[in-house]
This record gives sequence, C-alpha cells and structure tokens, in this order.
Amino acid sequence: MTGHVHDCIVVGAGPAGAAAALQLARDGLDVVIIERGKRPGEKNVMSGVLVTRKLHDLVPDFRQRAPLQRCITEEIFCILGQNEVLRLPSLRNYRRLSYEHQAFTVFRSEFDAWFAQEAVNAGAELIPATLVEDLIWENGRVAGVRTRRGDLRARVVIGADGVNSTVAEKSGLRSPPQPAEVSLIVRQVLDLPAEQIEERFALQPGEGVILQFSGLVSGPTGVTKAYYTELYTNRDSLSLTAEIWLDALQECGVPAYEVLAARERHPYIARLIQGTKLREYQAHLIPWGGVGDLSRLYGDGVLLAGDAGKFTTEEGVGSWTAMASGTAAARTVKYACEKGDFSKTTLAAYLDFLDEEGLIETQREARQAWQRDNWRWRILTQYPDRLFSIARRYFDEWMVEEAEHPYSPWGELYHSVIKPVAPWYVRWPLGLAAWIDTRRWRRE
Amino acid sequence: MPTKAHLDAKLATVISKPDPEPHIVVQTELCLACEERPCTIVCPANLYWWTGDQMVHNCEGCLECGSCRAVCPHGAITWRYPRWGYGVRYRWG
Repeated sequence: MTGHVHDCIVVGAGPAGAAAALQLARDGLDVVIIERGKRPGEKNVMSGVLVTRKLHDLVPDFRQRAPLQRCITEEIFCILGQNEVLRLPSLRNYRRLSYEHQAFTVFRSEFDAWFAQEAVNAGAELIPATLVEDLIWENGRVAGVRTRRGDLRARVVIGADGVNSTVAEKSGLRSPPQPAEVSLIVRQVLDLPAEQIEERFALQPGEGVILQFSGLVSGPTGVTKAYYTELYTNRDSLSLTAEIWLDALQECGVPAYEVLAARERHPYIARLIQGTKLREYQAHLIPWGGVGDLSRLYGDGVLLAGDAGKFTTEEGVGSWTAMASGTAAARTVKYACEKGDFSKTTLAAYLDFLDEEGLIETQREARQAWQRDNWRWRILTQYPDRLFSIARRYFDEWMVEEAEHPYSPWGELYHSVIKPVAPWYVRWPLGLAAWIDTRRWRRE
Repeated sequence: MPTKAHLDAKLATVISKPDPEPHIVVQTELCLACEERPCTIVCPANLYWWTGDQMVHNCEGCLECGSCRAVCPHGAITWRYPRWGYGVRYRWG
C-alpha cells in the first residue's frame, strides 16, 4: 500500500466502527475501515437486541432500509426451577411499534454489512478480509496499522475491534479481558416458520418478544451459580442464548456447551422451541463493568470505541453505546484534525464528546454495578427456592399438601426476600406489617 | 448424557476455514503444572481436552470467542484472530 497518510483508520466494521466511519465520511474526512471478515458482520454474534436510540440519529430512515427482524413489544422475565417456571408480570406494549426509539432483533451478518455499506456510500473506504496484527509507532504515538497486506498510515487510529481488541492491547491501553469482567454467550439460531412463531407467541408479522430466564447451574465442584438464558424471536427463527460469567463457569466446572444444552432440555424451554431445527451454533464474549479509568479510552493517536472500550451499559446492552461511542470518536478526530494535533492531550476531548452522548454516565454506572459484587446475581442465586415456595402456595395450593408455615404469605415474603437486603428504615415498617399480618393469619 | 454427540452435531452447522498458520498456540509444558485446566471447561466448541497426562487442543472449529485466553491461569495460550479470509464465518450471527 502507498505512503499516503489517511485522516483516520477505523479498525473493525461493527456498529462502533461503521458509525465512526459514517460520521467521519459525512464530515468530509479521509477514512478507511479495516475489517477482518470477508464481509462486515460475519465474525459477530448478536446476543441481545439492537436498541435504535443512536441509529435513529445517524440514519433516520433506517426502518425502511435496514435488515431488521422483529420489533420487540414485550420482555418477559422468568425464573426457572427444576420443573417449574415463575413468569414475572410484564408489559406487552403495542405502542412500542411506533416509538421513536425501538428495539429490534437483527442478524449481525446482515445488519453490520448494511451499516458498513452506509458508511461506504457516505465516502468511507472499506478494506475487508484484512487482519490488523500490530500498530505502527512513530515518535511515541500510533501512526498506523500493520497487516499482512501491507502497512497503512493515518493521523488517528480508532480501535473498534471488539472485546478481544488488538488495538487496545497493542497500544497498551487495555490488557486482555479477565474472567471476572467478561461473560460468555453461547447461542443457537433455530429455524421455525414465521407463522408458527407468530402463533406460538401471539404475534403479528414484524412484532417480536424476548423471554429472559434466570436459573441456576451446579456442577461437579458443588458450586452453584446463576446464569441467564434468553429466547429471541427473529422473522423465521428463534435464537436461544445462555450467558454466564467466565469466572462463574470456571468455578462450577460445567462445560460451556452443557450450560446451554441443559436449558434446551428444560421442560418449559423445550416446549417453546419444539419443532425447530438448528441453523447455527455460535459463541461470543461480552465485556462488563466499563474501563474504570476513563483515560484508558484514548492515547497518542488512538481512540477506543464499542466493546474495545467496554462501552456496555450495566445491563450489558452494547448496541447503541457502540454507535454512540463511535460517533463521539469521530467527532474527536474531526476536532483534532481542525486543531492539527493528535496527541493524547488533544484527544482527551473524547471524554467531552462521550459525555454529550451520555456515555460517561453509562461507563460509571456499569462500573458501579460490576463492583458492588452484583447483588442481582446474589438474589438470583439465593432467592429462587424461596420465591418458588411462596409461588406454590399461591398458585398451587389445591395440589400441594400444606406444610407447616410459620409466617403468613406476606410475612414469608418479608422474611425471605425483603429482610436480607433492605436497609433498617425499610425493614422496620415492613417488618411490623409482616408481624401484624402473621398474627392475624395465625388466628384465622 | 448425550451432549458430546449433540455438540458435534451443533458444531457441524458452523462454517469455518482453518488458518494454515495455527491461531492458537499452547505451551503444553505449562499445562502439566495446571490443576484447574479451565480451558477444558469454558471452550464452547470443546477444543481443549486433557488426556490424563497431557493437554491436547484443536484449532479447527474455533468460534473465536477468546474465552480460553481469558481463563488460562498460566498464560500458556497464545491466541490471536485467524488471518484474513480464515476462521469462522457466521451466516446468522
């Protein structure tokens, strides 16, 4: 390749990279995207839904043009027991079909290819089937990338190359992911005709639902861990994912593929996916907890966006944050080009642009949620048994022989769920209410 | 439990073209001292297995998630992305 110096090289044509390139090309800068797949998206796995909050700003008419599967009208949260499932109340909101910000199921192989093409149409250059293996350094700053097809130089490199980011590691901004900060997603895409999906989940064409299941896994080591399983409706397929933290998986000692296979056998999920045929088996890592030190998001001549910069929310949503961080990175590059300086000091403006996108807040929230030893996971591990015992008394009372219960149903809810986590000012009034309720209940 | 056979059937749905220059290199002498061998647990394609006295791995069929590298306690696994045009190609990612 030539000695030409581009304004910017974007490594990775996922949502973050394509958003950055789209924005840069629209601003009239000379931008190149390098993608290791032959086609953008073919190395990626969608483990959630596409939240269109940022896409709406970038491509306002995306609904007519983007390859979308189904618009999500309801998220159903369930707790799985051995032979039972507790479905929590949820809202199916048909107004979501016309909301400005929606969530869609998509296939990344289709969506990323389309989104990268938007950037190309705006004037970006896409180099597919090329792996960035190293960075070029010049006077202590990143000056380009090395590939087997030759070197490529630029004033700034945006690393949007995902959770196992080469740019982040080679630039020294981040170390390889640690087991406690990533979760492993194992996913299966299952063929099912559209009419059957619509019948099974009570949908119209174009509408979709998500089912989230929390459940437990205990392995040969005797350790029990909580993990999530999710079922998504695509146009003519379902995707079933199992998501578990790598350190949890390691501790409980159950092979990753078995974690998903166990869910396929669960009586409820087995009924939801019956009659399907496996289309593809996939795996991917999701980063959690943010970067912590925000000055690790930029260096001399380099910026990190998307999963490479650990831009996921505290719920692990990464689609809109990827696009928003890509846009912020693009605006930083434009600002640096206007200033003619690409040092770390100038690129620190990235933080201001991120703040405008609301991403400093999400980074902080993600960090806090990850640090406070995740009470959500504690609840998911400790409470299912208790919740099931309460639920059985309400929903199953004519089937089960009543055992001796020390508390009224309210009292039981208080003692098993509220008391262990609530602060004193919540515990005190509710505890009193539970005590009164139990006394009345015993008298009956 | 018939899950290993099931896994093979599942892996058969994945299109992948192995890189002639192996993208996973394991310093197997370090594995001899390893007690947990987490790579054998976390790999969703079950590419690592312990034969009883040594670690064996396979680069073909890698799903490129990077879990093995993240969990290896001894830094024995050198993992990189397969070069251009090689590796997994998800059609429904």
